[in-house]
Amino acid sequence: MDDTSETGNNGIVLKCEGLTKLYTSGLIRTKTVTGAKDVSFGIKRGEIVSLAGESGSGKSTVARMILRLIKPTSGSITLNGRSIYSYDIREYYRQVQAVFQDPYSAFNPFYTVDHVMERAFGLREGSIDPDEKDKIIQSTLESIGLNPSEVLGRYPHELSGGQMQRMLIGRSLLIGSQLLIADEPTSMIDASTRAGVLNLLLSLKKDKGLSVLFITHDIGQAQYVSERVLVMKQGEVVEQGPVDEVFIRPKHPYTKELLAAVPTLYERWDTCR
Amino acid sequence: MIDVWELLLRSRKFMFGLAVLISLILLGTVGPWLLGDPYYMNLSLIGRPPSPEHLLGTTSFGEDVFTQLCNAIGNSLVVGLIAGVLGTLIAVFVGAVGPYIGGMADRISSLATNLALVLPLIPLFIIIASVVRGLNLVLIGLILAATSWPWAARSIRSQVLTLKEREYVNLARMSGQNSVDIVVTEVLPNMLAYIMMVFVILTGTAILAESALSMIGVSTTRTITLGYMLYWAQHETTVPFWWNIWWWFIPPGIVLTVLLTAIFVIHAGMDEIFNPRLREL
Repeated sequence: MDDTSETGNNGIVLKCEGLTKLYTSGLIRTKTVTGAKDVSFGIKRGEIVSLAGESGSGKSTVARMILRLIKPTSGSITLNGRSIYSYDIREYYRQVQAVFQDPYSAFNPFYTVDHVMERAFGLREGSIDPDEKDKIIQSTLESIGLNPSEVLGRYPHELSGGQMQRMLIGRSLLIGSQLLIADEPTSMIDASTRAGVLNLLLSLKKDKGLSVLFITHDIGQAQYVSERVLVMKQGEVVEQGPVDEVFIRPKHPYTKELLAAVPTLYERWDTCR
Repeated sequence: MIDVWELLLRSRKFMFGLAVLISLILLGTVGPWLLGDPYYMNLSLIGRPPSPEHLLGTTSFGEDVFTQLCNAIGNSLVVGLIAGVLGTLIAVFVGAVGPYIGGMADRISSLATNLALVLPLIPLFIIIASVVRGLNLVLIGLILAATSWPWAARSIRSQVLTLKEREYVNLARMSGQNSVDIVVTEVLPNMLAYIMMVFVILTGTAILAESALSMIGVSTTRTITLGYMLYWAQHETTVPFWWNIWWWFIPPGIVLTVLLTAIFVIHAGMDEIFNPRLREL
């Protein structure tokens, strides 16, 4: 792709500056709710950045703005040095894709899961014959450790949450996107399959140079998967930096609180507060 | 979705209603074709009670009641079908597209729904019947469709508002689909069951509305429908008391009751299947 040469191998893929989203409701007496306030950060090629924070802290708002699903009130987002709104919508989604929190809501129960994979071809240029499509889908699924015969042709309710999340990651691979917004991809799936999804992200980062914005409320996962972390509270980024620095020597009281709230093994719960 | 069809075929209510409806449809389509001119007046046979030659007797004009009845069933079903199909399409369009796009489009479609909701049917028809010469079945179907959709559009709107927040809608948008595409391929299929129910109810109520309007003489007075038969039966009797010629008004009344019961039994059967809380199968 042309864009990769512009930014170089270690360039910044995505950059957010002063990103703010205010929700206003009511016509005469307006009420304003802050979704995100002055959020600035960048993601490099082949880097996994975690966005941590409690529910309602604005993590998903940031994700949705990056995905062009909602418009920011102010601030700018640039992809490979260009404003994301300067891209044609299809061209943009060829580069930025997402995995959402609830796999059961991400697949339309009306169709078999193939529907989601086939739709992804709509973003590609030119037409591909059906046989070729099937081959690409199968090899992609195999490359992420899914058995195509086990998942294809099934309805969403017949698959496990982990399988579905992997398929969605496979979908963005199929499109060949360079940035993946993973909005709490593991919070609604079994603990036993979580590691599989996390390891898949790590291996894609290593092999394909995939950049990931990993949104989570689980500090442990953030530490496992990412190099850098941003901690959000009430729409603001209160602390950011390398994972080890933030989590071992937290500066902001909220980060300390978050860390203290992580339950640990071999410790009495009432004493760990 | 496939399970739903199987369940419908196993539902006793649905199948019973369907069987009655199909036999009425057969009566309404094959009957007129076999029986000849329903308007033919045999003036030597005025107001005769049922007999082997005239299964349901004759009218005060010497017309065969059974022939008229078969034609009436067919025509009433045509009006119902036109109103049902069009009304459903309008309801789906207004109820789905505006709310999906949101903002101004949603406000406009809500306003249109609320305005149509307060449109009074009978005064409207009295005005139309006094102005328009030669109301025909298609026109009546159109007017009934134009007044029958608002409640359905409202409930479709509320369903679209929840369905559009599902992640697969976002995922479809991120597959480069446009809004109309998404509504048609992602949102509406999940409401197919409900839309079918809307169609059944709108068809049934349109048949009833047309009969009521015919009966008070503001619908078509030239094409036989069930309401038309009732209208003439109560206005043009040559016998001293109208109930003396019971074979003229009882059959269309019974058919109307049976037809609507069949349609609402079908609806009840569908409701049981689509609403799992009522499901007993």
